[in-house]
Amino acid sequence: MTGQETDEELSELAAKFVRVRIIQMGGVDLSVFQFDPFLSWSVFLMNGDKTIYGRFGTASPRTRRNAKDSNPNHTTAGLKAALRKALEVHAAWQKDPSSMAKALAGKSGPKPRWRTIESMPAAKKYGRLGRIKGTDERGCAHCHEVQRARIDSCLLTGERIPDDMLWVYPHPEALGLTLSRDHCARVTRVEPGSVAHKAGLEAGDDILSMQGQPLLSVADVSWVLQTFPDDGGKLAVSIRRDGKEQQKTMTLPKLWRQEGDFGWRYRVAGYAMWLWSGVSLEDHEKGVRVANLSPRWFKKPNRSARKVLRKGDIIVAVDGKRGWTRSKYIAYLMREKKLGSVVRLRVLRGGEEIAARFQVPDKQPEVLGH
Amino acid sequence: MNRPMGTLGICVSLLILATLPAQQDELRKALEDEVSSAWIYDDIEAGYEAARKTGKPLLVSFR
Repeated sequence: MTGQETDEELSELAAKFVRVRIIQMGGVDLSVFQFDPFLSWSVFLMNGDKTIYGRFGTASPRTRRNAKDSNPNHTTAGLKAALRKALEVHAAWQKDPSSMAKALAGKSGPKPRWRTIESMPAAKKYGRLGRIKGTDERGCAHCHEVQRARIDSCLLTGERIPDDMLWVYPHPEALGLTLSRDHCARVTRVEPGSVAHKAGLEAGDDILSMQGQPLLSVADVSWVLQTFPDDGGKLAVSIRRDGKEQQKTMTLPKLWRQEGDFGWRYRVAGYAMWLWSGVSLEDHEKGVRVANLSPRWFKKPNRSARKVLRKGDIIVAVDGKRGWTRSKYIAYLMREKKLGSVVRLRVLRGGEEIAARFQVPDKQPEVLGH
Repeated sequence: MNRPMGTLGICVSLLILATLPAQQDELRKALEDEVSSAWIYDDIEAGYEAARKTGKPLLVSFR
């Protein structure tokens, strides 16, 4: 986090913090630091006693990897807003921790299955913690490798990969909310008919808290969603509108998380997609479309699937069931199909529906790895 | 409205490098990672301690 441009206000705000730069995930305590693993840059604002005030750093389908490694979800104004809010929360915490304890309790996540990447079965098996380039130090693991290691570890141990490990850190758009990048959590648009719309949120609202947790940035909204039950329920929202505070309640339906898409998270979903389904996929109004074959540089695609699928095919039924999205299809192959079992498809090709079948990998695939 | 920042573009200006603890400085140099002396480099425990001593909040960046 070093600057190529100077912003005096940002400098002044940052100077009010003790600043720590963590450059690799080896040894990081994942019971404290839980964040969107797709990000190449993420910030925690917290107390020295490990109480978390909030997060900054949001991934979305608009996040792209390019020469500048820029993330259009981030702005200086947004970061400054988060820092200012963090200082307010810090002042309140220092003055009377008991007053903030309940509000901040939810900022820390449930105890993770594995506390460090090193302790994960997949990290041990696949030996991913290499040397940090140019040094004798070990522990070099990228942020996204944490998620891959978790998924691989579930596959190795036979544990079911939970929804919140695939559909990670849902974006506020999952609620029908578009939030400003330049404020903590200001609504700029509400999707008609969405969960947020039904709860009565409007453009211009400042969302102050969700589930009692103060919001420092869009990342904090994703955090609330990441820890919200998959079975749905009531989500308490406090907003400020026209200078007055109001309480709203959003109702998330059962299995709400699965209505989102994780297929754009190519660092994990991409590999999983090619390993199990053999091809690149995209959502289509009629089903799941084969967008392309897996890329040539990917060495382990499901070749059985590649033999029967063509670019442009639309998968309309899987094992007799219809109504698939890309994400649900990938999750189904990874979670429900036994190794070596056959997948029966109905595919639209050239306007005709035909049958196709392929075999999922017969050996445990490794999602981990570049 | 500010223009979007690149990841590297988000942050404080570079300051003149002061001496970091030797191990961290070696690591930083090996990675050619330019970071000001205002940052504790890859040592969260030192961060906790500094925050407790100063009473300041922590900003922990994962990069």
